Amino acid sequence: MDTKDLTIAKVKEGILGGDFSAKEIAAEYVSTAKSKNPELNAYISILEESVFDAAADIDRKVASGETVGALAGVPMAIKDNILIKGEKCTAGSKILSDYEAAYNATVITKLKEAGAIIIGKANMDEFAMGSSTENSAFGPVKNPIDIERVPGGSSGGSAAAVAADMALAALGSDTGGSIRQPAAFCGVVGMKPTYGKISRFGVMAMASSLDQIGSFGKTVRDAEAVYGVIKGKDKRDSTSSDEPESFLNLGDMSSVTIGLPDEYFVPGTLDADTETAIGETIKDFERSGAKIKKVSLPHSKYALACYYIIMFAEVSTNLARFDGIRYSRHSDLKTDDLLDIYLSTKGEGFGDEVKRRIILGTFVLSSGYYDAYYAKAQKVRKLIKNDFAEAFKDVDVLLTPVSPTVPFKLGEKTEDPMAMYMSDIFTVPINLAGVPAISIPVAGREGKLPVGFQLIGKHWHDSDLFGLGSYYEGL
Amino acid sequence: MDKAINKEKIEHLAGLARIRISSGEEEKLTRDAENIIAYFDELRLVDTEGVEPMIGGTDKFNGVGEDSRDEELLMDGSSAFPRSRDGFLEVPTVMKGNKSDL
Repeated sequence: MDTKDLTIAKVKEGILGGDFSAKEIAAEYVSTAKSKNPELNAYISILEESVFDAAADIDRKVASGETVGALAGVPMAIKDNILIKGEKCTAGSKILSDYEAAYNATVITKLKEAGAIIIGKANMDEFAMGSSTENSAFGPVKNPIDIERVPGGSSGGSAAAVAADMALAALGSDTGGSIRQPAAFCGVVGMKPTYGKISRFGVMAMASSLDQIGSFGKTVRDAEAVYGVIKGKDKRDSTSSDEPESFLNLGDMSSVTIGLPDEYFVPGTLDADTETAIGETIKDFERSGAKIKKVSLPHSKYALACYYIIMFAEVSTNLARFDGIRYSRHSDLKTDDLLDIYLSTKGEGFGDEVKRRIILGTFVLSSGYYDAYYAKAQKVRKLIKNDFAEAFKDVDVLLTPVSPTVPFKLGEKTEDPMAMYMSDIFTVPINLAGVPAISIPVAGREGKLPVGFQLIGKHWHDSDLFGLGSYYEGL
Repeated sequence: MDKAINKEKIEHLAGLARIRISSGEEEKLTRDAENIIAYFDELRLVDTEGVEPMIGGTDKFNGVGEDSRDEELLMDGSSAFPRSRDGFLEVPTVMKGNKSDL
């Protein structure tokens, strides 16, 4: 079976029409996952046993004429910071290498009810901290398009799995670009919904005011189908909401205004490939009749510093729980002294980037520095959010690059944390403001390294992005 | 001017965060921290006079739920603890002294 051109709609149609069974689809994806994983390392674990039980259940329902869910038989990869009851959940960290989840994340319960088949847990930067998936305790992920290059991060395993047909769709989490940047690097679609649109219950918290679960697919419609299943208010996440969505009138493109923020197009910021590809995308929308308008997001240049201060602070508190008493204990630790257990567990269990962030988070929250860094960053965050609100008075969506460069080489930025942080420059402002954004591959780049463009929407206007993105794919 | 970060401060912060770091790690962390904090200092250029801080990811008010038990969440949580014995979670002794004193 050729899975290259499969979509979620085609899988459902094929299963219901008797062209193939859920079991056949699952077998195909498991086999691809197993044969490609030694090279790409996209999965930390492949859940072979439960895959076939779940697929058999779908086939039984189809045979007996029962209704099946929106994602019946769809093979999916789940980022390994999202809990699946009874399965290991490592978050890419040595400190959780033996941790087994005691309950399902809300998104997992919803996916299972919709009939999705979970192929495996996707590799990631440790606790989602990174932009290249080189910070995993289980080894780096390689980009399926060019294995000498990174897949982006932190949801690099999820993006690579979809790009390499090791899954048809995937879930990731996005705190500062961790869905959108790997989607751009691997040539797939990745959506970061409005903050609050998806329940975070059962995703390991990294920076709670920025984290959001989202979907990957080969097409905008596939990413939307997954989003449609997982969205909505959840009593177990008090920040989740059922705020109604609104839609642009795409029947008349001349009624759509697309904004280009000056600060994202500063000469010399983009590499040549990215600049050309984004320029072509703007022309495509222009030709379709949409109005293009320049706007300004004046505080953009402070967004990266603001983001890293707030995120470090939240990381330092959220990760305090991994203390050796709960979740994990270093097996050959010979001490029963409490402080010694804490120091050894964290010292040996956490990787370099995680330690760096916890220590600097402790710094920005410490007495004497709190006001200068953390409190200041919270105010700058408000200004950044206001910038978006101001721009959205004049335009319906914003169009920007996702990353200033095409995928970089493995090892290129691992020694210099500041260089790595800079790759998030176009994605972090979106998380600070809490607005939705989608990364879509620029068309016509077959045989070249992929480039993604980003559509940013107003709060709760997630559907506008799917609509406009899908329109672009149809051009 | 007193530098915001140096080796002694990194050591102190690591202690507060309960992370044991080696002297090699300490040096690299200090160097990286100096660069990162210098970058953070750019925020001083932003005029935030009279700006209300943005706290959390949304302007929405916290949802309030009914004060009831979530039956579906009743579970055996022992997998979140590395050690258990006879149905009890095992943690290290935190009170020292003879058992007869307790």
